[in-house]
Amino acid sequence: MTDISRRKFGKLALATAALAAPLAAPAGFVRNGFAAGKEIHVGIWGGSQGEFVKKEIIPAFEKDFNCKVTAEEGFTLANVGKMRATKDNPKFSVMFIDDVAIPICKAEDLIDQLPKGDMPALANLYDKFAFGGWGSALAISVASMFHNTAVSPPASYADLWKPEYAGKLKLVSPKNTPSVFFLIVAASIKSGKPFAEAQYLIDDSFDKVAELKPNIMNLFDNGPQAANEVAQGQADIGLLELSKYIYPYTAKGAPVTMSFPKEGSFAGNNCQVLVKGGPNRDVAVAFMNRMLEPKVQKAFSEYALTAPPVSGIEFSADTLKYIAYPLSEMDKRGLFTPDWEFINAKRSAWTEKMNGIFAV
Amino acid sequence: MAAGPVAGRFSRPAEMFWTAFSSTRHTGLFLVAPALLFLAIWFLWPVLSMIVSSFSSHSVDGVMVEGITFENYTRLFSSDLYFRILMRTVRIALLTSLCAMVFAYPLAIAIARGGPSLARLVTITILAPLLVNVVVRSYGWQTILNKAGAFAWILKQVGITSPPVLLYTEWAVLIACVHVYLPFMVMPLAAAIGRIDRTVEEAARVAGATRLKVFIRIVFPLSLPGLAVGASLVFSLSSAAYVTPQILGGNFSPLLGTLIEQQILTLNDWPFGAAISTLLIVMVLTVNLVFLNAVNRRFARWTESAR
Repeated sequence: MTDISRRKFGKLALATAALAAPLAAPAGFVRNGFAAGKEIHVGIWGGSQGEFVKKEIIPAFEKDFNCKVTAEEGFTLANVGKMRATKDNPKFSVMFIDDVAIPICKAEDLIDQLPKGDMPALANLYDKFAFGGWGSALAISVASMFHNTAVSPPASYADLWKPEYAGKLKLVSPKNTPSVFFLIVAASIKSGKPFAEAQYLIDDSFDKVAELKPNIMNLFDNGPQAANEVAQGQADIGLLELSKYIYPYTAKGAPVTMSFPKEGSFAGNNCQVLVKGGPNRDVAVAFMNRMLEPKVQKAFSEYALTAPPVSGIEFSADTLKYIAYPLSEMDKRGLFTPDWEFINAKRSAWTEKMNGIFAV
Repeated sequence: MAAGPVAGRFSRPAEMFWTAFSSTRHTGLFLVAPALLFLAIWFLWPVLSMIVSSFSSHSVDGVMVEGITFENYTRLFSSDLYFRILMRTVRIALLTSLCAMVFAYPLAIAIARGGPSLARLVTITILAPLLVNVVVRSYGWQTILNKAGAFAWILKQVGITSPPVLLYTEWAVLIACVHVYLPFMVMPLAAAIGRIDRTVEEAARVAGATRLKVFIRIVFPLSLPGLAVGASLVFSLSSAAYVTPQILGGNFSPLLGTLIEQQILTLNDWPFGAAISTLLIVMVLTVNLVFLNAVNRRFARWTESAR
């Protein structure tokens, strides 16, 4: 029997542990071993949401899965454009787009249904944000009116047509999605019907839209800038914009906030889709699953002041001031999601009509 | 001067090559070939494919339908919307050129006829705004022209109680366009005025002409080539302006550029966007050709009668 001193034994034990550590490490990653060394391209948004994805979510995912995620910033229609351009030889694996474009992507065969079996985090996804399995929401904003805190906002959208608001309103430009929400509001005011029915009556409501022109100071296409101008008192009220562009200013103490007229509000759904035939589909699916995990969703929501599309997340009272969560709260606020398939087909004609009213 | 012989060694073959090269029939062609090739690849080809795209498909209810079509142009001319915005684009571009011309003459004369230090000062003042990004400049104008901005404040100080708000009107777009494009008018004009023989002006003065008359009868006609270049530059640039009308027009006074962006980025209707772009190019080209032709004929007539 070899005679080993206590000190020598200690040294040997340490050396063995040191040698074993790197060998043991991959064993810890076996669960995610499939992703090792692979790379995926993800089309994300710009702004604070994109920043959070790039700085927090992606590095952690890369570390856990020993893979590389390359993010490219864009916005919904630009991201759809990228998918179209690379349809024959897809470069992206995951795309972030708004719900408005999901029917377009589906119709043009650009996306795949999410594999439920490989995405355990889908279990907590609220049904209304599953889009028939063709994607999932990631963040929900509320679109509504915003106003300078020195002004008391009207309880109904109908009041905005009154002459007392002459030149005091900022209206969202037809190139932004919330412009569709405004058209639904106008149709609802004209017909007296709820949003769900009014959205099909927009074609007959442009006279109502034109009536509002004297009250409009300008059409804005930059939400944060519009929020700033309303905060400065350049205009009293802005309609309509997503809470994710307004509340970050409110939270910083700027004199601008949102109000929710009795007709209801709209849901602005930021979503993710799985690119059809995209490279390294398994990593893509794991990434999409990660985006929906409770820990990520909580941090993401708190950062951008948006509501998560999944159940079971606890927020502080301070955060809950700015987001409609959980689902019961969204329903209570009457958050409406339009029939995008119907609207997308009409969007071009409506934009032309809006231009005919405001741009000439 | 150690470099002398070395340079000489290299320059001799170059000189020989140049002597042989410069005397061929195609020398001019060889010299312009690189620039022509560059423009053909990076300008002509994209413009041609844009025009082809405007005829190759059109959008029906948000879905692209491929095939040769005139649908995009029919749509362009079937509603008066595009014609009215085209007219606004022409109006703003013409007014910008006109205002720039009025402001540019005194500045160009100061550069061409003033002392070296005055000329340098004016040149730097004119060119300085070009160092600032156009977006920053437009936002600067926004702060000046808004409801609580410097312009409204000055008007209030002089007793105008409810000053007009210029922001988000055509006026704001015009003011900013003149500011942004003024240097493009001043510089060619200054060069043209600098080339006018001073003795001609002096002779006129000796013969009893007033300064105004000298300007109208001598400086203005002889500076026409410079004016033509300046006006052509300012007109072309302002009719294609996008950032300035976007920031200062508040979508109430869009020019064609804004509509093109809307079609491409929001509605994803590239063929229709291409059709509007083609319309813009045809308009700018036509106005430039007509204007340059008119100026050239007038200049020829004036200088002929002066001989």
